[in-house]
Amino acid sequence: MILTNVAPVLSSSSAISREGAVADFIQSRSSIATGSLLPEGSAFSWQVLELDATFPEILRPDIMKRDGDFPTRHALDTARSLCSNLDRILPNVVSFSDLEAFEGDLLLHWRSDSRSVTLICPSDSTRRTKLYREQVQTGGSLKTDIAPDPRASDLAREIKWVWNRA
Amino acid sequence: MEQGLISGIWAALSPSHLIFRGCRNSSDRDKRTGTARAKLFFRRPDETGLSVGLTAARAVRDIRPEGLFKIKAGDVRSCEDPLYFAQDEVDHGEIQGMPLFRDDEEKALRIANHLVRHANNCPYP
Repeated sequence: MILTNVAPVLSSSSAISREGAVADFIQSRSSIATGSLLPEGSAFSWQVLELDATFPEILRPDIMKRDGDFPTRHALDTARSLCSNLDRILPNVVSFSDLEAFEGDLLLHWRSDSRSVTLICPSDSTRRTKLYREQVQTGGSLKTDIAPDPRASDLAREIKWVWNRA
Repeated sequence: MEQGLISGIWAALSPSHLIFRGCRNSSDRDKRTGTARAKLFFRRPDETGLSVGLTAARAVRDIRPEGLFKIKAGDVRSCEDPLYFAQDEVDHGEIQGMPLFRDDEEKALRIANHLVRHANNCPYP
């Protein structure tokens, strides 16, 4: 798990702002990606990096207090796991279009003009991870569906569909 | 809130009438693109609908605004999932008809994405 390796770096950061913490985080991860610090068996993932940079654990209390919405650790772990596997299946994957937290859930969006996919990582294990798919059809009507418990290969297939590469 | 009673008091909005939704949190909008995020149009458990103003000033009166979006009443009604505007004050009402996100993620996302597509960022007073 990448965050575990990074946590000491973050906790020793002198950053006092979200932007500062993110910059520290990216710098530390970049050195790991390009150097020999990557622990054996760990795969570097830009998607996971972006995820952790958007929701830095060290700023959880501040963001929760100010904004109210921050994904739970369960939601983040689910997203990290799927995204790190996604990088192995689909190298050079197009990054998220957007990330958002709502009531502890984490939503990862990939969008193109008429197609979108959203990975919904729930706040706790009582609910299932789901993959929502939407297409705006000719005439403006919508075609949507949602599938539970997606694997990284399902996510890879849907991202290729969004970018019309399927 | 009884829909019929509300409809009896207030005239129905014309399709071009603007409705305003204020952002309570900075994360309700994507700062890179200036667009609303789906969460701005998700109903929270303590809400019966989405609070909206019929003026920009009313939409942000009771919150510390982090942004403001406008949407035409006709665009709210054009959603494939039926949505209703329940007016409760001369310049305020609720968009009703969306489920809680946890109860029906597919429908909640479909509605929110529809509203995001039609919502436009606007300056707030």
